[in-house]
Amino acid sequence: MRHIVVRPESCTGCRLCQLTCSAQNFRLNTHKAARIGIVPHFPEGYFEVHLCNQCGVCQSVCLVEAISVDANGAYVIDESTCIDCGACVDSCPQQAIFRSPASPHPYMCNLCGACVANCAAQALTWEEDQ
Amino acid sequence: MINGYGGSILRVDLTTGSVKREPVTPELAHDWLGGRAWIAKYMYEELPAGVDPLSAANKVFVATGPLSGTLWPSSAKIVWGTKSPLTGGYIDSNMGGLIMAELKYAGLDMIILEGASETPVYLCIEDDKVEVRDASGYWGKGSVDTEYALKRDLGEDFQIATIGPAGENLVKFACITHDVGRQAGRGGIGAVLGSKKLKAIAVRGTNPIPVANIEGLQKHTTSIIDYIKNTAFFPTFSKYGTTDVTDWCDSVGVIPVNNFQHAQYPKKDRINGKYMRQQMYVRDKGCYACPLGCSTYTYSKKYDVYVEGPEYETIGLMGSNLGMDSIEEIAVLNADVDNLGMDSISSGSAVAFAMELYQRGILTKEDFGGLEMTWGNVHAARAFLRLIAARQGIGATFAEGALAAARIIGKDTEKYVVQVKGLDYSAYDTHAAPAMMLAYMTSDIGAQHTRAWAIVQDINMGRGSTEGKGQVVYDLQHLRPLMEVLGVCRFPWLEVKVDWEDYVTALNLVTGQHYTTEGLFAFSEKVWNLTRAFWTREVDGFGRAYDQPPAKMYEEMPDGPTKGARVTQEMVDQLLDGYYQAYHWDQNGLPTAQRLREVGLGYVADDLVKRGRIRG
Repeated sequence: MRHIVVRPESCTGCRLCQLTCSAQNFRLNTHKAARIGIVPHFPEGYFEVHLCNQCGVCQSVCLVEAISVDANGAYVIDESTCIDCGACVDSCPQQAIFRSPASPHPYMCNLCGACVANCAAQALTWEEDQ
Repeated sequence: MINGYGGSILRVDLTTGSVKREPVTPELAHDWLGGRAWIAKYMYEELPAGVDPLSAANKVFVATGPLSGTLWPSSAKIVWGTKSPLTGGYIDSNMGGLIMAELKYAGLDMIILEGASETPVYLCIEDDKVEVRDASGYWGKGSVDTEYALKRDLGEDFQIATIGPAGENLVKFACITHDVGRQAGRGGIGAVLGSKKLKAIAVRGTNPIPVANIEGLQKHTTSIIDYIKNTAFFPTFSKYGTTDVTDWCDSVGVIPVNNFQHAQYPKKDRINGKYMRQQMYVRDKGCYACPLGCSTYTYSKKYDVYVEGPEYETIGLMGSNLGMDSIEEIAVLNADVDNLGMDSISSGSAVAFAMELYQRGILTKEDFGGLEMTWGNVHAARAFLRLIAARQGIGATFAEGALAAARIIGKDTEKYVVQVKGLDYSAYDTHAAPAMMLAYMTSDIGAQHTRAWAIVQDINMGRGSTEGKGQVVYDLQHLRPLMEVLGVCRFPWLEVKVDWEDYVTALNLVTGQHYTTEGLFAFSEKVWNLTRAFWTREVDGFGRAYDQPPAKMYEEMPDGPTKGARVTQEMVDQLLDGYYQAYHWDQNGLPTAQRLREVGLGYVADDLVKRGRIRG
């Protein structure tokens, strides 16, 4: 299994990861449909990056058992089971489950990796599980 | 829906507070693309001839391009334009950051700001909801402080552009600030917003930008980023950004020192990018969709101040050109002018001019209200900048811009101001750089480096020679301004050598059209003729006399790598003759009616003939 590792100290806040994610997963040109979040902090000068780290809390709190793990190790919300109650969104320790007009249900990183390829600052990289 | 566009133009009448949306037509999109081309077109067509730049009849145009806010790398440009209160002619100036995308997500490609409010207001845009709101609570606040305050009050995900006290007080080189440290700096557009009492624009939108072939665009983008990451230039430029050029400018003798009296700086190791990173680095910062992240966000312990930058132009104009001791002095001056809301290039020029007048005994300590305007005196410079922003004491004179200040002061001081058309030189001396000098002389906003940064060609082709330099400038003036039509940054092309054709490919993937380089260059020539026509219409006696280099360039450089170099009138005439010929303009540098018709500006030709500005 592979994870995407975040190094927020390398993030420049350019949002190419979000633009790429939205294009890859929803075929939309926006950063606002992304499965990754960026929160700028100024004047202190840093960017918080919110990305699923496959901790599994969402699965344990889901009240309708809509969340499973796919073959790549990514957590996936089954849209036919999800009732959009928001329990997973609220409980995610990474604040990495998102809602947007692009989908009627919440979603998180599906480990497609499109963002990693486009993060020139290398704030996002692949890491193999030991 | 038009691919690549938000779809609407927002027209705001600040006199009445009314707003209306006008559709972007397929013809406007296809024939005029966007960005600075739209600005040039609307400015020529909508501004009454001879309009006072600070009157309610002037307008400010804020335009994105078809690539602004898209996935294409560094698609982060938005262009501001108006009739300049500093030069009396055409000005456009662009900024990076994130607001260009937000505007398009709100369905807007351009904002036209008309009229003037009686009381301070700001424009708040949330998709279809647009309001002109009271800004009395923000009036008087610094540019960056206002951005933080509005984000706190409206929400962190609003993107905000502001003016500072300098804009409110109509300082003629007041700028517009966004995303902490991105500015549309040049030509006093901030003062025009100040005259309209518009403190800020805040925008948030939710609609994705329609793209003809998003899969193709993503593939193209990923391949270009892969290329960029593997170039030899990328590690250096992403780390040092524009500051990387400091050492080079010093070594070849083009860095401005003490108001362009010298061109090599003994303290350059204390003001360069390496020293800056070592002393003050906080974070690399990137504009929207930019893999380069060339901006460096810094903190000066010595002055307890955060600033985005300094960039090279500020290092030159507010550092070596003022004789400052180190990057920390430059940082605090940069932070000051950012929050006051003044262009760091023209601010540097104004302070340098004042310091030279002090050096020569033309103005004294008493004239400066007790300030000792010696080279390197950071405290005096900081105080003087505050006087300018508040138009207090002698600051009121310099708030008019260095050239206008010289005309007020008299005593033959105009020769000490380094400018063209009233716009102060960027940070490249041209005692021995004819192409760069021609670029300044003929840039369509005054002496600005970005239209044609030809200094490298001067070094490569021979510094004393004018041979072939006209062509260099002509070519650059066709390609570079197109970046500000499309809404993208030039740095991927300039700094990591992304091929221009890849931009054209991206444009076609986004718009679904079939643009070609040949067609785009012809269009670029049309826009260049249009801005030249605007100057011809607005400025009495416009022509060759307005394309002259600063008097200082005729004086011998006393020392450094370019020791003994100076410009002659013969060189200047040669450069201009060749340049005007290349554009098919007349000997006085005016566009001919025939040429205007050939490039598709028949209605402009008719207008200028009718006004007696050119012959029929």
